[in-house]
Amino acid sequence: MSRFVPLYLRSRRVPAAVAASAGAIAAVAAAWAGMTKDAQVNTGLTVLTAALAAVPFAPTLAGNDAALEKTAALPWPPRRVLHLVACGVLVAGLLIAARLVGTDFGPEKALVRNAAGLIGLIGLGTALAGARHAWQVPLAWAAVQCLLQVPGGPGWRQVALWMIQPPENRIGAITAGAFLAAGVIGYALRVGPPVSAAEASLEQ
Amino acid sequence: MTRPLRIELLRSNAKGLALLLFLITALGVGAMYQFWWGQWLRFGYSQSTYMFVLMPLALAGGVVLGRRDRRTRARELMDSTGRPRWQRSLPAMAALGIGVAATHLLVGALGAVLTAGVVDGYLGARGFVAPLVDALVLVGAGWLGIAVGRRWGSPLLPPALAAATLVVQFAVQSMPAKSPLHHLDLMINNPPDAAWETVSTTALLARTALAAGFIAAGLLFAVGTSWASRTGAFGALAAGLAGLMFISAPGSAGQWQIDRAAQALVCADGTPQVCLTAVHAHMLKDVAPQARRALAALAKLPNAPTRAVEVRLPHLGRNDSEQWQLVKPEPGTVQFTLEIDPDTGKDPDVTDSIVMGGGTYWSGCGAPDDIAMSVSGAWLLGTDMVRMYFPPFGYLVTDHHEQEIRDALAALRALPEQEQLRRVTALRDAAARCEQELMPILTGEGEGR
Repeated sequence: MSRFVPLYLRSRRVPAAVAASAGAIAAVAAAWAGMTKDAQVNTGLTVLTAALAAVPFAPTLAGNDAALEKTAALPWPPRRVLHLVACGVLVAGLLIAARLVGTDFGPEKALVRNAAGLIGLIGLGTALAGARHAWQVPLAWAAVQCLLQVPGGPGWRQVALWMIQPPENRIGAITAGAFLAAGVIGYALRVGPPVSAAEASLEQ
Repeated sequence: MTRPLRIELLRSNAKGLALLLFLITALGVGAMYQFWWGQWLRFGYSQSTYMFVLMPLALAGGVVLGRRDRRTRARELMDSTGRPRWQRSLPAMAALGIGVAATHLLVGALGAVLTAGVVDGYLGARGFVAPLVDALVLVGAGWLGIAVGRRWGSPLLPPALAAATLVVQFAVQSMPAKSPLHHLDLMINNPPDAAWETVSTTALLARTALAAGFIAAGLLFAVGTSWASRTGAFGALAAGLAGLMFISAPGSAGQWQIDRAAQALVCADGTPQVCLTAVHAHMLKDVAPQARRALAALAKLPNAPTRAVEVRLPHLGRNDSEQWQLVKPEPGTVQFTLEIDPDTGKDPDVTDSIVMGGGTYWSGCGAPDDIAMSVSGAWLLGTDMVRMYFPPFGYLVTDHHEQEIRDALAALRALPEQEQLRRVTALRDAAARCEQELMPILTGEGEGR
């Protein structure tokens, strides 16, 4: 087990993803501090920063050769669940930790909700379309929410704009929770559509 | 060349990317339908503002395609064929370019069909220019992405580049509007205030410069091998971004200009004359009978107007409700504005709003005395109340002052008929002279002064 963890993390390029995610949050925090004296980052930029921090983890959800990994007699589902949940915890943790350098990305509840929902969508995307394409829908959805950033309204609108709802909003929390559950279950069961033998040895 | 292009269209990520861009634009623009329904120029704004999301996704889609060539080592294979490098690169780049441009133009075409085909709305030629320019920006972003993907193969690159481009655009919104960096944001933060406003020539030129910079940089990076071509590519990219930053002008004046053809008056058949601007001409069938009913009510007064015309701002809208009441009407003409209910697509208060104050609500005097004007309007129509619609607040005046209006109307109707007519006529003439205190004229309190 002790050898498994570093090999697994390296094979999934996790160190690079963590560096990209932390670096992105640090860059946004530094740019915000340079542009304004207000520590509180606006909602739109918070949403996009959460997406910026989450999407580097999408390529870590699959290795270079899924066919080869399948031959290993290991219980993969719990490992995948742990991987996905750890990504979400890391994104939320990094966003909350930005307060240490004087940048406030908003209440913890909202940050945890958004990180959970985004990681869930990435997991679901990986299960349905593969890790290479898993980042597209969560990122595009976050960007559209930034553009239409008016919270409240009818239920369907609160579901569609779940990331910009106030932290105590129930519909936003339920939506994010549903995405996380679907992503965890989907990713535990499957890592993308089958790849043809000719392409199996190619990288992601 | 056709066969490799067809294969690339089928095998590459061009169709997946095109589908993603189509869904985002269609859902995003669809969510704003209440703002643009029946109005082509506003549809153009709704589509154009989504470039904020579409451009980063096209860029990342290009990186995905470029990475495919790198990770499959297609370059080594292609280099062994006896064709110039630009010919070998062309099918993949053309497939991606066709995918993103066709999608954007398809959404524009759907907007045109919905506007002209379904509601017979105005379609100005100028409204087609912005989608064309934006399609070129998407093609350029895709090609630039291909070049980047061929050079750097990390799977982290597409999502990180797309997200970073989005964040940069959003972050520069916090900078002062006059800062050139502010213009790097493709989201349009100041929507058009009037329905006849279209994307300005300055804004179109700025986006054309960005498209040219992206396309030239993408081509030079992807096709060129020498240091000169790489330097040229960086230069083209910098020039494109500089064009976007320095050609753009801040504020509404930099983003919008009046489309004179859209603002031209179109009149309904028959008399008395009722005219709307060309962008609202599709509503004439519904508006004309209501406006004529109002003109018939106004005819009870001496020297009544014989023509009803939609207010046209001589300048760009300033998002100020009072600006509509500062435009002087022509003699013998009563003005009105259209306040469209997003749920029905119709103006629910044409008759009521025209009779307000005996036809002086939009007489160029600024904000009037709503209560006195409502009383005189209801008197003219012979109803208990007039209801003016103020989106998004609804029937603001009636909701807050209904009892006050009813009491004043009852008091007016209790007077002899000649006196009623005299007081309403006096109110109208005073309002036309831009007098502010109108209620005393109706109550008779001001007569002793």
